[in-house]
Amino acid sequence: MHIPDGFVDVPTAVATGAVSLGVVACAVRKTSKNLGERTIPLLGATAAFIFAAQMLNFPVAGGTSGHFLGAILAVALLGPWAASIVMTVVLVVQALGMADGGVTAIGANVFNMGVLAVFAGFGLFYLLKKVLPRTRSGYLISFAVASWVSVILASAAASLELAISGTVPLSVALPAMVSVHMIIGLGEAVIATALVAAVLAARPDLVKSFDLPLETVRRAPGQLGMRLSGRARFWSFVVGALVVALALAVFVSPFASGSPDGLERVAADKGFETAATEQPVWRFSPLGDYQLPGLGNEKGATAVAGLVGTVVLFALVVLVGRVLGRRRVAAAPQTAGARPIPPPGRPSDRSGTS
Amino acid sequence: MACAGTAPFLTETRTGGSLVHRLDARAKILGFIGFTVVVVTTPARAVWAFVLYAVVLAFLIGLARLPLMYVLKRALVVVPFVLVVAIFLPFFHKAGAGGYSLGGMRVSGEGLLVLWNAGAKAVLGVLSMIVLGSTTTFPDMVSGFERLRAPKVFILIVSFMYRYSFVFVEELRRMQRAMASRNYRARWLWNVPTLGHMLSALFLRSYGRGERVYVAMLSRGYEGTVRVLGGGRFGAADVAFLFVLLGAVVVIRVVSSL
Amino acid sequence: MARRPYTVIEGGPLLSERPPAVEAAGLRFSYPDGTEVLRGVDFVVEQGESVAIIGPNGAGKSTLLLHLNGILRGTGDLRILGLPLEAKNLREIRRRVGVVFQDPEDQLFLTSVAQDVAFGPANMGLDRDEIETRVREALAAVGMQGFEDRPAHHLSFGQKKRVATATVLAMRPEVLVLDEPSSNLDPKARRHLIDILQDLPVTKIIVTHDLPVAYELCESALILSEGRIVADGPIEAILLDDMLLAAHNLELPYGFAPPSSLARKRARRL
Repeated sequence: MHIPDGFVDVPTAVATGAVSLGVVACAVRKTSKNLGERTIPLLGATAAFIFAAQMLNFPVAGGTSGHFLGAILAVALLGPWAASIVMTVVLVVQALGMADGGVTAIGANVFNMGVLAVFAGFGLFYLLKKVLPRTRSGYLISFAVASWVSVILASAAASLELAISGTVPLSVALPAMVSVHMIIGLGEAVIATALVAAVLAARPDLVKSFDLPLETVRRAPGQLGMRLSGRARFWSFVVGALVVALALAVFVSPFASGSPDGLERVAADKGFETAATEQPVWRFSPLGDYQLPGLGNEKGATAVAGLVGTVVLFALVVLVGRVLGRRRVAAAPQTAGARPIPPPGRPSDRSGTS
Repeated sequence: MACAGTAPFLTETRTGGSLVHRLDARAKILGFIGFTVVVVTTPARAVWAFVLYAVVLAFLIGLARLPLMYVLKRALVVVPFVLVVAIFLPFFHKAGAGGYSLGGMRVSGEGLLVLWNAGAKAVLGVLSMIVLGSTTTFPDMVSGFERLRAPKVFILIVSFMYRYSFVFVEELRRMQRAMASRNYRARWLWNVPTLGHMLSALFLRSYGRGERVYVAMLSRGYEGTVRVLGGGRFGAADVAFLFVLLGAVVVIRVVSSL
Repeated sequence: MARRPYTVIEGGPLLSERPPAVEAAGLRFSYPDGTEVLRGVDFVVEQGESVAIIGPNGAGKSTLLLHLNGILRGTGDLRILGLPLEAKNLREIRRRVGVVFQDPEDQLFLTSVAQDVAFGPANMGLDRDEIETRVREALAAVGMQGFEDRPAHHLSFGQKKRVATATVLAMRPEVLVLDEPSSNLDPKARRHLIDILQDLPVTKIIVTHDLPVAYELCESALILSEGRIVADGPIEAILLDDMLLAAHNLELPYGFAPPSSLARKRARRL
């Protein structure tokens, strides 16, 4: 997903660079205030971990492979601002040290993976946490969905940047990139969730974004910390499957065609050049007022319909989830100051250094 | 712990006493990044300009006495990306610029230009970074950025990251070896839970280390700021390098848009 | 607890005029979740002494160690070099008390050996020349001169341990605290480290399982068990008391016969 030099044109590179610079500068200021505490070594360790993990390629069916992104993992552990700095550091080192990602495309890459993935993912994560039952499973599902979406968002943004720069045709590149990354994102979600679950089980004090009572993570002896309960697993599977299916509907189906050389037909469709003058097929399509470059109105309409359908179904699933969640006994509220056993070397809360 | 030479990432510095190796890191950072920026802003139609850029790079590679095969092998990372652009090419439909057929798929001249634009710039960008990375040690690079006034947070994180990257990759390798010797093969995405277990162990270890390092830092008087020692001055050779390199490419660039 | 007889450092003021290096009375510490680790620790270490702290695992040795430079703070009375552990004293305490931890990986975190050794002096606010001098001296003291520009991960374990010690020595501490200094070292590296430590004229507090090393470097020993000091005296008295050792899950290595104290004193003067 790391865009090389020359793939984004100068205006795009500069625009994304400016946005990234602004956000990261803000992040630097925000985290610098806390530099005296344990931040730096943990930021470095997280950065190193994400850097190492990004070198892990996991095979996706069909000979392609994807790699780990880690944006939401960083968010869960460090909060969005520190996470964005960590991702930026990783990307810069990759660009300069491994020639992975162009140095002129750093603005775009940081925007996709260090700003958009981080903050949009964080927003979704936060929202889902509020909406889902406040249990460990609810937390993990929120995390998983946010991770998955973050990967898709990053890849969609990359395709958009590439298309705006004229390097790839949006109508083909966007669905292709997004559908591949929907699968890669599943890998990311599963791995990252397993990770966060393990960290939660061992050191819940480390997970900055975990704001639930500690009882929710204490497991009965004999249970592996990483397994969701049977019910939660079932429902997260259902949710996952639904969302995948619907996202495919939203992004890919508008471009699918019944005939064998469907792609060629899409390409040959004069709709691209004359889209501006065509009447919208669906009169109430909000996309009639603006157009994504390269997309005809009918496709936009399909996309919107799919999106609405997804939202409706998702709401249904969430409702179901809440009903289930109410069956769990709510733990007594605890103050945020409670911490489990830290290993030797951990500054005592009492001394006030943390 | 195994020496960094066993890790084929973080472009291994070819220890060499060449002129390029001995330049100040700041000059190289500014020079090679500047080179890449100028290349990327060059209009793709001026094919001759890119040829000249390649000549400049080749000269620098020679000056740095880097083995050509080594450089080219590392440059292969761009190939998948360029292939992607190539694959999407027939689906471009830009107005004008006559086309021709390639076995049923139509490819336009405009399209080929897009491919050339992306490909040439990506390759040159990668080569430029390879030369930078191969002639500058990581500590020097970090120190160079620090003296170029990069934010302290970044310098600190990068310093930690560097050290622990080696630790983690080594741990990762150890785990992969252990898994392979038990006949594990990542066949399909859903073998991922094992991967997750591996990564979580790696991660928790790293976190533990982060805390112990913090304690060690506190014990040596850390109070939130760090002076990272750097060395070296900006000499005549550095100025000359910057002047000549950037001067040459800027001239090429200017001429290319005339 | 009876105070141990102390050694007089030639040429210096009488020790009774100098505050003890460490003075603990009723020191208690519990982790925030309630686990009590130190349950009333009392001991005194005079300046110039070399003391070994031994004890079974889980006794609280590491926790105690972290109190010595204020990383952890428990209840009860604890004074380091006469200074109570308060926020305003921390900077000075950490300057004068150097702690070398067990794992050198945790202490070498910058990009080169010189950087790591310079870290401490830099935090003390010394100027560039002074820092360079100290780095040179510290590396020479541990026999690692010439390694300034090497990244730390290029070193062997023994070399890393030495550099880690140098990072602390560069601050010229008055009290040197070491956590398992000889663990995982091959015999040659171990001997080298003992020689280095032997020559240092500082107060030494050595937490160790390596009883021969304790015997060689220290005159006194404390046994920490279940959060309390259960023995405090000359090292011969402690190490030759099999029953005492066994009661706290300690034992001398097989075949180790500590030379008599007289023989030791003779060896020292040579």
